[in-house]
Amino acid sequence: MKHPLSRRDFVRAFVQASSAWAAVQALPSFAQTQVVSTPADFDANVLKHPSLTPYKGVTDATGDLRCESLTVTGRWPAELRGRFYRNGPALFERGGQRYQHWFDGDGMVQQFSFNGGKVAHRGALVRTNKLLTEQKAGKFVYSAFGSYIQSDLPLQGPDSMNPANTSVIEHAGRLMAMWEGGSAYELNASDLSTRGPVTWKAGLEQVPFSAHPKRDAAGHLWNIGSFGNRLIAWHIDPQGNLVDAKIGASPYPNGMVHDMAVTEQFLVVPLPPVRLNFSALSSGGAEQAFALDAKEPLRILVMRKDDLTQRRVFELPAQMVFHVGNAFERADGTVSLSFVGSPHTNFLRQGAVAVLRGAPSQAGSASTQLVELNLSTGRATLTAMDDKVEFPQVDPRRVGQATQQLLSLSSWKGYAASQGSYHGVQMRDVVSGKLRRFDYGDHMVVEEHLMVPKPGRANELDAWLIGTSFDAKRQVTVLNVLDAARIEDGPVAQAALPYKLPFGFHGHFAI
Amino acid sequence: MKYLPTAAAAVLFAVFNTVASAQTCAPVEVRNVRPAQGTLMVVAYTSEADFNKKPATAMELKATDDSLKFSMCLPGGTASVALMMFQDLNDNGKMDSNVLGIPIEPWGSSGKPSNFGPPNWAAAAVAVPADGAPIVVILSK
Repeated sequence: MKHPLSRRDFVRAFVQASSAWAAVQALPSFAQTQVVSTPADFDANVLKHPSLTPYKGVTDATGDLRCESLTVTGRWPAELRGRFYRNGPALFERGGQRYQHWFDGDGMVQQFSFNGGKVAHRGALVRTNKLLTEQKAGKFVYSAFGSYIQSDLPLQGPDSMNPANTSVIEHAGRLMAMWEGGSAYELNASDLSTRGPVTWKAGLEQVPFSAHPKRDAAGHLWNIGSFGNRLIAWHIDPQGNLVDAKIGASPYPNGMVHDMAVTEQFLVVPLPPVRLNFSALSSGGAEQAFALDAKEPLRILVMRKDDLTQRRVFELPAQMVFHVGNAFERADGTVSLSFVGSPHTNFLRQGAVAVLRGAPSQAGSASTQLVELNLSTGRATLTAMDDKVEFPQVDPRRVGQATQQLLSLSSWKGYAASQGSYHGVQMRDVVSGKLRRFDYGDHMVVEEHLMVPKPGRANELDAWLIGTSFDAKRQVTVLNVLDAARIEDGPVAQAALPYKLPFGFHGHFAI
Repeated sequence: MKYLPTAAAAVLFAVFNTVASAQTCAPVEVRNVRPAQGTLMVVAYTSEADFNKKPATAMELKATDDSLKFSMCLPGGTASVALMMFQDLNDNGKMDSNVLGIPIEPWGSSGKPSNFGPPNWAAAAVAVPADGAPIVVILSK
């Protein structure tokens, strides 16, 4: 029952509230002007670039897609059953506005169901609070990662602007769409309808649960979140229950933290010297907001899962890092980490803006990096590979354990049409250095491929590779299945959609 | 009595404030209220020195509708006012926040609160309207 508040209680409530309000300062603040490219700009530019048409995105009306039976060619492996999910920014325009940056769009989850050689597809926008509010308003009302939107609506917190657009996972039967800065959103696996933001425990509302959780060999899910000067370390058990959400200090406050790796004992977090300077976004655009500070090192934070204060921060020459491949502990205690690093943030600053204008981005410059982290001496030994890659993946049964095979998207032919995207996949043996790859061709834009172990088989290469590609000639999205042991042969089977999907970021395979 | 009726509260606060008979009453309109959930808690500051310290007056209103209109009576001669408010959804007498300190109950202020920052006097203060136009406050969402 409610108690009538005394005046003194009332004032105290506001004094307490002001400490809560102070925390809001850790949220990004935007300045007051904006740079604009319009839907018409995109439509005009993209006529010259048929490989960029998926960046047009979907609308509320076209954001639900369904195809009961894709056209399958080749030999679909009979044992390959399950659900392949992908997520990515999909809705970029509302009420005549168009977002400026690829990362801004509202998330859309794609689900491919494999059932006895039959492939069905379903796609749905994640009905976030952001999307529902903006749908009702008939316009964007929240600033996004790379777009300033003028609005008089105060933010409730990170989830106000959470588009749930980066990744997806099914863990313990719970399907979640994830973003970097707020809650995961739960969806129904049966029809992809949105259930709402996941609050793991009272008090953890809106606490960032970032987009690259790692599930270890024992089935435990680990994740991080970043907020101001703090890092949150999440631990979810194999049954889907929260074990712990520890809060530790960030060695590089307000920096971009996108991905992490996990080992038996440690969380391994790359902290590139990139501060997201949102106040520069509206005046100088992404160009100024997401610059890499070359005077600062790339930090690799290695901290104990059970005690975040037990840590070591390794410093490497400045590099941008989005994604890790894997990490594991060697017998001598050294932590081995694979990741993809770039000497600059040009994609974040320019490429992801260009493509939303319907113009190609520059060729990528990220390459495979292998680093040995000696926890007793603090010494980091880095080896950079000569390749052009992104979206690294390993055998999902061996996350946090020794892996020899590293799968990535790759470009090596310099096709004019696929500059700034990837035209092939490569499998790198990180021990022997052997590289095997498959080129999809100059009219194909290749998206993240996953390693899916063959049932009952144990070796890393006893796996299928599953991923989508966009065929710019046919203007449709195709699902590909390759054999990891014979990647050079290309797809053993393909399933073509009768439509194109917006380009996505990351996927997940669930049995 | 679960809630102080507005008029009674105004009288009560007038006594607290030992304000003389003259008062200025400004119409207020609050939008984005979550209907039928708890209580809207409102305070008014009338100077920068008092901001976030000593409210000139305070009110609590049952959050019945998605938009609430009421009258806020201030000491006579008040030229500018900053209204701060939150919706106490669970009626526990405080603005709840998560472990990071981020408010998880709707909040708002008069003026032009930053999208992303705590209200301050410069942003929140508005002139007490002479013409009867309401002071509009939009709660966070």
